[in-house]
Amino acid sequence: MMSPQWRETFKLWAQTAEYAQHLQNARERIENALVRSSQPYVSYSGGKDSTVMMHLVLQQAPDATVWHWYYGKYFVPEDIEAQVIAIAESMNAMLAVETSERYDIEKRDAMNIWGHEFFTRVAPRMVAEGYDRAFIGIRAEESLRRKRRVRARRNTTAIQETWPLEDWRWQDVWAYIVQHNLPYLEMYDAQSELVGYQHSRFSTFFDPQFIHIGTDTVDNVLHWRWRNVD
Amino acid sequence: MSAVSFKLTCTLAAPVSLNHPWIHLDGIINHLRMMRRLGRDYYSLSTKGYWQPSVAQHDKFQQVLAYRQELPFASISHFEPADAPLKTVQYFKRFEANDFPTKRKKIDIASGHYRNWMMRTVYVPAHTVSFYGRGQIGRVRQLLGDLTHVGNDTRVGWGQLVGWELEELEREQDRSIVWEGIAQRPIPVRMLKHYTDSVRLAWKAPYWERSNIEECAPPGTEVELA
Repeated sequence: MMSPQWRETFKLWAQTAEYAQHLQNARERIENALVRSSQPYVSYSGGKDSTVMMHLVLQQAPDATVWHWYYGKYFVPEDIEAQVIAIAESMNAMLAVETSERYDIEKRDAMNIWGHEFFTRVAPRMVAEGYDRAFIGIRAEESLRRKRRVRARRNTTAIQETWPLEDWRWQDVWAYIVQHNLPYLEMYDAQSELVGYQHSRFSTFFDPQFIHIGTDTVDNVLHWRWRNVD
Repeated sequence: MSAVSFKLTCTLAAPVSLNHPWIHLDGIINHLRMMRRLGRDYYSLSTKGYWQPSVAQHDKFQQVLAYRQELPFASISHFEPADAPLKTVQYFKRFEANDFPTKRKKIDIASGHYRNWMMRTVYVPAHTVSFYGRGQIGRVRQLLGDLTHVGNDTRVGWGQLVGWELEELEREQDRSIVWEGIAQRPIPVRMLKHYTDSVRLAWKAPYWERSNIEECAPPGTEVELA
């Protein structure tokens, strides 16, 4: 549970002019994108950024499809996945969940299945189905790679992308969650005690792709219950 | 020689780096035994499997700690202060070209001696770490003479010890497997009559070995031994 001090901090941040500007920018981006699209979808991971973005988009387009990729029980524990689904359902999202059977076959040896499946199977099918706009919750602040992607306005598929939170900072995201009393994954609070709210992020657990940045030690200590999935 | 219950208290000179929420006493004891037995060869063992002692060696192995069935009388770690918060730090080694004493024009920083790296460590800034066990206290004391550090990444100084103290306990004070109905270490559920929680965990050393994983009551669970 978020401490009262942090909650108060984010409430105060929600009163700043910077936050108000970022919120207005996000709403305008969504509005402009919806005017120019007939069949949008929201890309939703379950993390804090996509939760906030989903809430913002559904206020203007309640019928938009919310698309979610499930990484399988070896990378996302089943009870966390259940929370991810519950958060989307609490916002009455029209949720479409996809996954790959390769996760159960390759288990923790699976590498970049999402990338392969999304670009070769899912995205072409979505184009064929008429989707013409993707709302994606990336922020330039998150990494240099994302900063460059935002600056270059680079789409990753044939579907035009909109990044409503592109100029948001981590404080804006938490301020929005606190201000609107949005549900979020419980793991954020435990992780934030260790690394701080500015560094806490939701990604796959015990994923060999992220060992080089040291996520395995944090997972081993914080998420030990999910270390040995049957 | 009969087994004695004991408490091992290690005084720390440096925070303990963790790669798991707790450290196992039997893991430490077995590590020290392997060091004594194999010497420098301990560092040349195959990474593809683990050294399986013969039956005779296994019997000798078991002479240090007492066992209940296959379960060692050895608790997990207890840090003091008990509310010492977990912390994390990210640190790196980076090649610095300035004043590098060679005429080589190119230095490989992707591999080899000058390889750059960065890692994240979770650590606990505790004053002491204690363990409870039961076994041949003289042999345990002898082995602990080789113990300089505890925890993960000890080669960079984490978990360095100032010293340690071994205290004999009465049998009824033994806290190495269960204490006041609470599991003090991972216990396979097949060895329990009753338990309130279970998780798949390694329950004996080596704790990184997959074949040692099974459904266990984790430490802190209400249990009753079968």
